[in-house]
Amino acid sequence: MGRPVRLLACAIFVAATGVFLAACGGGGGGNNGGGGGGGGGATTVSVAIFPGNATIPVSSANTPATIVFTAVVYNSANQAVNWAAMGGGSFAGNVFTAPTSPGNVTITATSQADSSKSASVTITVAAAQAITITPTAIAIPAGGSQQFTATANGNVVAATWALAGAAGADLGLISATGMYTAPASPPPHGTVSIVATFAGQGIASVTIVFSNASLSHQYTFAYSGQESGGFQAVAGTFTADGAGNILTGLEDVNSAEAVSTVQITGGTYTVGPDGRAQVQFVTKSGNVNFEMTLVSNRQALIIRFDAMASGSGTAELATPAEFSNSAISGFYSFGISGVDKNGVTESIAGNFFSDATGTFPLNSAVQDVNDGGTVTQADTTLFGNIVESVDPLTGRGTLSFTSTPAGTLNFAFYVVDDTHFKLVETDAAPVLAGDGFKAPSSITALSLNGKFAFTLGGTMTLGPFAAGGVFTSNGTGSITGGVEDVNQAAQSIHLQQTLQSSSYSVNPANSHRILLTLTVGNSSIEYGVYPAANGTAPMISLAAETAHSGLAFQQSSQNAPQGNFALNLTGFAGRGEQDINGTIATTGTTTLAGYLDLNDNGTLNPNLLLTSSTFTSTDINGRGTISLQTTPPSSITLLFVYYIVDSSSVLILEVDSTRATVGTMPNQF
Amino acid sequence: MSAKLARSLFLIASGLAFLMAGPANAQSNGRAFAISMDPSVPAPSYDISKEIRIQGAVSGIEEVDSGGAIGLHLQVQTSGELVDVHLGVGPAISKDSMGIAEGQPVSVIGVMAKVGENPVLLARILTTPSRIFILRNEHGLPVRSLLPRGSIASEKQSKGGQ
Repeated sequence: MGRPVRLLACAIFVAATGVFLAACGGGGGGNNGGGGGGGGGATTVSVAIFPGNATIPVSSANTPATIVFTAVVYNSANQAVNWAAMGGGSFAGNVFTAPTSPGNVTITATSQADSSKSASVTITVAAAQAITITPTAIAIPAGGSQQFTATANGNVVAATWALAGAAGADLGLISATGMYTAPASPPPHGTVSIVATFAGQGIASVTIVFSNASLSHQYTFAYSGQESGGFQAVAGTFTADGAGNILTGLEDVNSAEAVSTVQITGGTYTVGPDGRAQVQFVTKSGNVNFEMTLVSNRQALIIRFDAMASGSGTAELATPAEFSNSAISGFYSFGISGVDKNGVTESIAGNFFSDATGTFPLNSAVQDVNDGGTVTQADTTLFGNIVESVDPLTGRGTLSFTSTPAGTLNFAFYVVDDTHFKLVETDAAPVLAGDGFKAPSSITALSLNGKFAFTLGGTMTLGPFAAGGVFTSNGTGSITGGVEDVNQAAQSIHLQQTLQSSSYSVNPANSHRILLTLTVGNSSIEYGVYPAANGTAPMISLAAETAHSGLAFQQSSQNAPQGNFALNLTGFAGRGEQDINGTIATTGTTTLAGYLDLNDNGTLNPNLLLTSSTFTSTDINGRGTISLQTTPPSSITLLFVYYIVDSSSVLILEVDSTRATVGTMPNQF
Repeated sequence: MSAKLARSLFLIASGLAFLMAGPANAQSNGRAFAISMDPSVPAPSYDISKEIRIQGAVSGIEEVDSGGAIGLHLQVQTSGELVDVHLGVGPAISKDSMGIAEGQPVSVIGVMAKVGENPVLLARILTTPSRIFILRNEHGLPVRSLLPRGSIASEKQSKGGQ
């Protein structure tokens, strides 16, 4: 199961891989395009090249070394580019033939739609190999195929073919005749080496890029956000055919207009090489548009991309074999948030036990409720049951939770697998949505041992509240240090506040709840923390002056991010909901490249090219900073603090004067 | 976030450009954005026992996108002073959707707070000639919607399948 990357109201980079997103060119040339329906913001043409930086052998007189390039032109219907090589070699269409002497060659693709926009990569031409593979480098869409040929001294030879790459990764398949089939999503580092052996060896480099084949089979999804009438929460399922079509689906929508179960009767999608996808659901009451960023074929970060609605969430590859009541068995930690009957932020986090028949018995559950600042701690009156059994086709069921502080709450839920489900309330009010995660059968002080990175989102008197940090627990009840950053409504930003020594305990005793106190200066905030089995833990604030909640992750690395990352951010700016998806790649020790898709309170800005974007190295807490800047005409600067979870996941908190957002950056490759 | 709302946001921006040339500018110039490593700076709290009620006329409407308490502000001229009133953040909190206009008489119940160096009235209840808006709850936490759930189903088509 993919790591759950988002919970409640509440995404990266990685390395010198084969994919390098590059673009340049002077300003101007505005052109609206791309993205799903609705009012667009100002966007501009940009170009990306695949594969990126590569090393190939020199060509010999009778054996050319070739790279097959692909270019994508964003924000233009005209995808045509002009190819040029500086430093040697030649182009025939999009196929580059290396020169006969070693050296560096700069490859440039220039948009025919806007000749001021181009992208460049540098190719290293190295010494000849005993075997030359044709093509010698190429970008292949996930799921796609390519015939390779081995040549020695100008003669095609019957080589033995093999694949090399990251250990344990799905590298795809190669036949005895050199026919290669790419995996469903890019492997670690994004590249696979094709090795041909015949009285010597030759190596070709394949860059795997995302494609429509990366979104295939059945997914469970959920998102929440804002539409014109107010808060909206949605959970559901959809099936993609791997070829650009949404086959079927079902969603439960709780919006200001209605609470309804809606059939998804079809739809289309297009996955770009960097994993950003435009997805449209067709329903009988209208079309619904999304920008999704694929982390892999197993998980996507999603933002609603319509002028009348925005929101953020995730889609996870489902395991239909576990679509049953009996699969939801054992202890589960959950976190749900949304709005109460007055439209004010409400959050609940807790833990319950489900027997194999779908009953959640009394005295086997505990929860914390923060209803707009009215807090009920460690409530043990919670019980409930699955009402409508899990449908074996959709993974949908309904359940109810009853407790003294919250009354009876009814939900639709969609199973991802037996460790994870997504739920959305089906009552008119309150409207709560979130996730449930398999939890350990018992919790002790050792359940919170080591460093934990966390982010939190919610509201305070001035408006949106966002925070993040890292706390260190000694496993015996003490918080020994850490750091916290707080964004109070983009008005007051408190950076790198040292967490003072404080304590935590399993409270009530023998329950699945940890009462955690985080202290900064003279100020302490208590949190209810509910550890899950996957190293995450829903957190809920027990403070009356702020209603916020989020997720803590066991931290296993403090190393700065390297590679390609998907990104999602959600929160508020002055005019309303902000939801941002994108991809970011580290292009050195301090520089970043990539694209953002922004739904700014209904103003849609697809394919915003990053420029002059940087990050800093991490401190002992795995904390660093990021500065993202998009190119004109939609120039936006976003400042973040980031917290490393591990080599595959990063949490981010916006810390500038225009927004209060939090998000995640999961590693793509 | 309908086209109507988008238009209204444009109008607000236009109105803001006008306001920036007027007396309200003095208020906005005083707004403060703070980046601090000082943990002792508290968040503005809402103590309902310290609520006050003011009456006056709207002399300015300002959408603050950065550099202050983001969201919609009213400058309310009372008999004695000009009060900066923070209504909140979000698409529902807009001049057009709330029908607020300059010159309109209003009363506001809320708590005074210091935002940066500026005194701001955090509004819980705003009363205009035609409507009463509940903008915050008793803990001062803002509402995300001014309409009861389900209340607008008859007023418009379901949008985008949602």
